[in-house]
Amino acid sequence: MPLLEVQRISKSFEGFRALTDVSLAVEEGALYALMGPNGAGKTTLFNVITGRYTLDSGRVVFAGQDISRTRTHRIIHYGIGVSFQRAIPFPSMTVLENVTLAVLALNRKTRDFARPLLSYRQAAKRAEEIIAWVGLDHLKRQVTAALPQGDLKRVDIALALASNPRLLLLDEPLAGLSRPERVQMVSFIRELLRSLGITLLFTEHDTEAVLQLAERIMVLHRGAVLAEGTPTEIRSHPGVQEAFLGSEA
Amino acid sequence: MTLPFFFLEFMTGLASAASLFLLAVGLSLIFGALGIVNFAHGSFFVLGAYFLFALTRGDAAGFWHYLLVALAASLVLGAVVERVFMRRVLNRAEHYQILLTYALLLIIEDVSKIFFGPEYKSIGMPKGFEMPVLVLGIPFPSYYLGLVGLAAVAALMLWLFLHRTHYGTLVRAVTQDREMLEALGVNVPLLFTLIFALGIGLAGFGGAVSLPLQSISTGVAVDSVISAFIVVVVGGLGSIWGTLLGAILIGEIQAFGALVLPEFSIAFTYALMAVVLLFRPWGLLGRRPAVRT
Amino acid sequence: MKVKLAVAAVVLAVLPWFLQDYGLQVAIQALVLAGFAMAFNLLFRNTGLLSFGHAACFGTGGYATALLVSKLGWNFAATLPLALVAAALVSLLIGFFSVRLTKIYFTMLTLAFAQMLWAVVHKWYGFTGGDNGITSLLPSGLLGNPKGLYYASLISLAVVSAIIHVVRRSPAGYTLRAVRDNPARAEAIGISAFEYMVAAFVLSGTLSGLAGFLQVAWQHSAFPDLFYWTTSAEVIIAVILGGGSEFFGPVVGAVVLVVLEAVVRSHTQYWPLALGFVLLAMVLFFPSGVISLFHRRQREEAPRAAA
Repeated sequence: MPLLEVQRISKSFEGFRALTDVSLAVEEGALYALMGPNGAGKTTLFNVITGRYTLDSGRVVFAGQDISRTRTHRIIHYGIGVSFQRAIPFPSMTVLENVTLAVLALNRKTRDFARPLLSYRQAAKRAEEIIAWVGLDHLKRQVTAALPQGDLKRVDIALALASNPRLLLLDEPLAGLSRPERVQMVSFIRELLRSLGITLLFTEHDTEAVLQLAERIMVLHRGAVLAEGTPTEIRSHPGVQEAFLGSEA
Repeated sequence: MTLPFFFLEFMTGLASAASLFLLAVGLSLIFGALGIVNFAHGSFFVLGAYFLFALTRGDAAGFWHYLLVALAASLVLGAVVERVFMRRVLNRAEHYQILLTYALLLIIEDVSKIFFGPEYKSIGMPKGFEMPVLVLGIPFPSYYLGLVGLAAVAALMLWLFLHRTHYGTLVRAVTQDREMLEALGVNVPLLFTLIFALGIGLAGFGGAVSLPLQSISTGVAVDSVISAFIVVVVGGLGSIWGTLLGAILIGEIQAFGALVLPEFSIAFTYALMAVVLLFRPWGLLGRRPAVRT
Repeated sequence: MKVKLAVAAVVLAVLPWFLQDYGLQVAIQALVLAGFAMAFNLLFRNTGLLSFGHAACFGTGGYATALLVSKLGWNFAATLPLALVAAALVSLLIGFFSVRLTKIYFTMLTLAFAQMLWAVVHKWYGFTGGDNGITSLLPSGLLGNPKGLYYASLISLAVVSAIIHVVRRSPAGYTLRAVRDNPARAEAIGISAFEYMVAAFVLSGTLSGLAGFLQVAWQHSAFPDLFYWTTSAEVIIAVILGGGSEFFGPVVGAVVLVVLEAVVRSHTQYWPLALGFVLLAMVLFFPSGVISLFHRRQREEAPRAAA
């Protein structure tokens, strides 16, 4: 059984059909990419899966459970970690505070109003562990507002990892990074998730990066599925070539 | 309640609506184009009335002569205020804009007291409207009808300006996409000055023509700006017809509310504002959604 | 910081013995407004929500007390718990409906609710006395004499500050700021923005009710203007004038505002004019508030010290 199944999702906004009958299946352990130009529907699909938008028809099933109607803030409790487009960490807090908060959120302790945040030793230790995974241990006491883009992305991933996910959902994780930073980030993500055994579904419109990182790719065009397969298959797919690869800078 | 009485009450409500429209439409324009919530808007409304009173020395014979002067003075004042003050807070957090306009409210309040004195000022019916007309057999102040006519003409002229002139199109465009206009080489700061001046001019004009209707003092500024907010919120921030609809609704609620439950007629208008914000925050005829996803 | 706090505490503790009657009254006013401002800033600084309806909570606290004392003959101090409950309920109602709107619409709705309440209180002669208000409320005991009221207000301010400090450092406090910083990211890590913002509103409103209680105890009366929008404006001014992004900014702002008013009013009736100019100057020249003026001086002095 696939870990995540999207079954025939359709979504319209005031007459505009953003998604038409989109289905995909992500196997456990896969590095799956959702590709397509701006406006293809990648982010819409992403937002439907994560509960930010309500779907018009279809189902989203995670590990056998129907999460079609689940709202965003409950998603993490199913074992899904999420990072939205341009969703940078919380700038007023340090890296450690950011991740500790996320850990506490998972443990439903964010309602506590009496003890200081960092006095929750277990949560803080777990946060430090995650921060070490993303290689930012030396920055843990830095306020995130002061960090450069590349490090911010790592903190963002750390926040998503704090949910103890089996599946990580990243929307345009490479946005805003320069070419060399992208290359770094791609290998960083691949190794990290391999070592943690986490499945990844991400959206991206930088085709080179996608072809390097992903094991399986789905291409969306104007809200519908254009192609689906391995990077090699996608690379040689006539429709995809015509639509994108030829025009990619 | 007989039909003539009902109709007259309705007409009275329309007269209030006319005054409210002129007061509020400038606020709506300013918010739509500049994004500024002008807490001093009622102050400029009152200033327009003070200008007229001072120019005519309280004698309604000079009403029409000096009305245009009062309008011009308001336009100029608006332009100056925008250039000197508003410009500096355009891109800052809203609470600075609110504080700036509130500061203007305070300053205008006391300056008015100093220049014009703290007493209530009123004026008689203007030339040509001294006699009441008979509406369905009952005497009714003819100026009320005149005021409704004035407001209707103003609304029409405003619409024509916004939809049929070059500058009007720019004004509407800047409400939608300021950056695009800048990229196209339009002098947006000048446009802002013009829009703000127009908004304040309309408020001042509204205050001046409303003077025969209600006597004014500086305290009116504080109440009227809230009335303007209600009208604009109900009608839709940034929409002229919305402001007109809002003004009519509020005017009629106040007129009929005063008959039915005089104690709470004002509470009704706030309740309407709350209801609109709860179910249709962008107003009855407005456009932008405001609810968190 | 701790040293400054200790010094301030000592000064405030002994101040009444150095003040004349009038000075003491001014001090009490300042403390009450300071408490109100701290309560307001709990919401504003931590959620970014600018409420123009806090007068509703403030006024509810005051009127609850006034009504219980005047109509049921209760002891002033005994009314406090009920005043807080009333303020909490009003905050819950307003917050629940307003919080789902963003920015200016939130502000407008809080304004609408507060004005509704004002309109009702203002006209309901039968129950609230309408615009005649409720007068001749004379507290007995501690609250009845100026020094006692001063200490009550001081302790109240201390308690409010302590609560805010504890909440800010706690997970709930961080959660609020996460929602303020980046609502989408907060949702993604499992936080439901709505309930936290409502909770913050309720706490903020309840503590505002406490200020309202003290205000009525000091004024010996309650008038509808406690609910009017200019009261909401006053607390916003106090916070921003002082510096909303510093912990004690609101206190500084409240003290400056009250003392300035007392001084100006003793020389002229044109206090609004003076305040208008002060606000203009602030917006144009020191937008981070009065407290930022102290920091600037520190920064200017430091290089000299190092040299």
